[in-house]
Amino acid sequence: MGKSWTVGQQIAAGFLLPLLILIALGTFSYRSTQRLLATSESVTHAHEELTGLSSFLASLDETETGKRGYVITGREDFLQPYHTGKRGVTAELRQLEELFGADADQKERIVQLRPLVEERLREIDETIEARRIRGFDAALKLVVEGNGPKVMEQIRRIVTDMKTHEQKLLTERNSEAKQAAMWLSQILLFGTLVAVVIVAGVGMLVTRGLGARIGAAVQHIRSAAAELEAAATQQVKGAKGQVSAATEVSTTVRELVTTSRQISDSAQRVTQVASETALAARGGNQTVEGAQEAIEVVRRQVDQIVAHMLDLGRKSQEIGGILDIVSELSEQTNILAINATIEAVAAGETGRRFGVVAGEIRKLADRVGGSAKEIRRLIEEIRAAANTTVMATEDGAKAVEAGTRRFGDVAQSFRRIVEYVGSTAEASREIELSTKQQTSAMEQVASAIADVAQTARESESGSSQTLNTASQLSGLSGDLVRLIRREELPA
Amino acid sequence: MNVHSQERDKPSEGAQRPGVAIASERHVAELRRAFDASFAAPPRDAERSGELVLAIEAGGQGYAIRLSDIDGVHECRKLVPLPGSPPGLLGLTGIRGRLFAVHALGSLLGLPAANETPRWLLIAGGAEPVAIGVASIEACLEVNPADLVQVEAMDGEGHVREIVTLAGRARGVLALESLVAIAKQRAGDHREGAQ
Repeated sequence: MGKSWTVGQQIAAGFLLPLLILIALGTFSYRSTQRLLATSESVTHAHEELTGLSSFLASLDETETGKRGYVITGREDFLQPYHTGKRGVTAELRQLEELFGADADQKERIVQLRPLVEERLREIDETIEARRIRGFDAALKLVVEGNGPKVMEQIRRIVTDMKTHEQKLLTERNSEAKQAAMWLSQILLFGTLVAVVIVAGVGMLVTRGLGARIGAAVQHIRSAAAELEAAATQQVKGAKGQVSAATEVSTTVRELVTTSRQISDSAQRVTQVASETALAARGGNQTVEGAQEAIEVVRRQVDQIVAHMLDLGRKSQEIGGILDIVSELSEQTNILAINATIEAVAAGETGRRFGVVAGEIRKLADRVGGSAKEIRRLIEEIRAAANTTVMATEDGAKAVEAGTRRFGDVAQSFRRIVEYVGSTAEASREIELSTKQQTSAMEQVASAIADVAQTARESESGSSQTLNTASQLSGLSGDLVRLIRREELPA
Repeated sequence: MNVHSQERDKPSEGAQRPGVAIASERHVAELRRAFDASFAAPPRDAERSGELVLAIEAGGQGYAIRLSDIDGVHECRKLVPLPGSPPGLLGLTGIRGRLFAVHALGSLLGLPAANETPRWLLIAGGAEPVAIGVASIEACLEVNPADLVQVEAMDGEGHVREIVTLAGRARGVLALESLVAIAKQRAGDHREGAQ
């Protein structure tokens, strides 16, 4: 049998072959039995035919007996056998026709027999009628002169032929019946033996195959049970560890819940401090904005100072231009005075006094020139001072502008501080909310961890049960192995 | 804080400012007084007047000229250059309806910066006057004749024969006759050369 067959297929195949043998054996037996029954029926039929022939002759003899008694006695009561025999002959003859319906020879003999029987009965009837009507002698005469014995002899000869034929047939059928019975017996005997051998072989094969496979499976079950036992042991250890870990985690989570609440309180305080800081930063921002406005005013005033100083410089330049004209006029006057002096000298004694006046004019012109130079020096100093003031003012303006920018930066920084503090407050509020949510989640986690610990304990219990079950399964597999392979069991 | 602001913040500046203002006021008062006094003083004696000299500058050097040696001083307004003029002859100019040949004083003195643009013109030469251009006239001063010190041909050409000290600075007093003669000689030589 193939190793790939399943146990059911092997068992079905093991049952199928003996079943086929039994079916064949039964078929043969049925057919042999049928044939034996047919042979027996033929024998019975032959016996019935022989019995019918005997009854026919007996009935015919009984009619002869009744005729003879009536002829001898003349009494009607002696005709009773005649009547019974006559009815019996008719019935037997009709029955014989039915019995020999299938046999042409016997049927032909029946056909030959019927006129003879009718003649014999007619001769008996005539004899009886003669006795009744004409008396004993007439009857005796008919008996003596009649051809009754011949007809009877013919009838007896035909019946004997028929019996002989039937005996022959009966012998043949008995032989056939014996042969059929012997054939049936041999079939039953040998078929049974063959079936027994085949069933035994198949049974042995199936037993070996199934035993091997079931043994292997049981070995696998045994090893699996051992592994399951080991795994259950490991699972028990793991479950114990899990219980311990769950307990530790539960403790840690409780500590986490406590810490989370502390964080929530701290975040709340941070939120409060951040709000106060935001208020302070807004106040600082307002102060800085006020200072920035004041600096802006200073910057505008410095711009005005610069404008005024530049205007002063321009005016000084205009004064310088006018002073140039004054200087030139002074110079021209001086030159005129020199020329007047020259002319006075050229005029001699008469021009002496004019020369004195010209000298005074020249001196005045020199003084004007000197004063103009002094004014120019002063103007240059004024312009230098104005330039210095403008530069200093521009530097101051730049410093103010830088201060303005710095105050702007400070204001921007304050605004950023306000924004950051607002963000910090918002973040701390979110932290507070998140921490509260975290605390709630931690409590849920603690509850879940407690459930996990409970589950781990239940798992430990279940693992212990699994270990017991695995041990029982290992024992059962060992028992199965012992049941299947007693000889292969380890000592 | 920059340098100017630091200087501005110095305490000594604030202390100096009133002093400067007081000095200026005194200076103005002195000028006013001198101006008024010039009109209040009696006329000086003409006999006691000194020698008038012009402190001038030509060729980057300071000189002095006796006022009596020149016929007039005029501003050099417009100068028309002459084609093919000799060195030192800057051109022609018109003064009150008369044409004058303008010679550079530095060129006549043989100084390196001979062709400088003259600011003033000194008229000299008598009947045939010429204009001598000078860069500037620094002052017209009256000096004591005793301050004019005779020297021997200081520049080698004979143009400086005296030395006078003006405002602590010694100046050579130019002899314009020789300079005018040189100018006329150059113009004459050039004219002859051109003919």
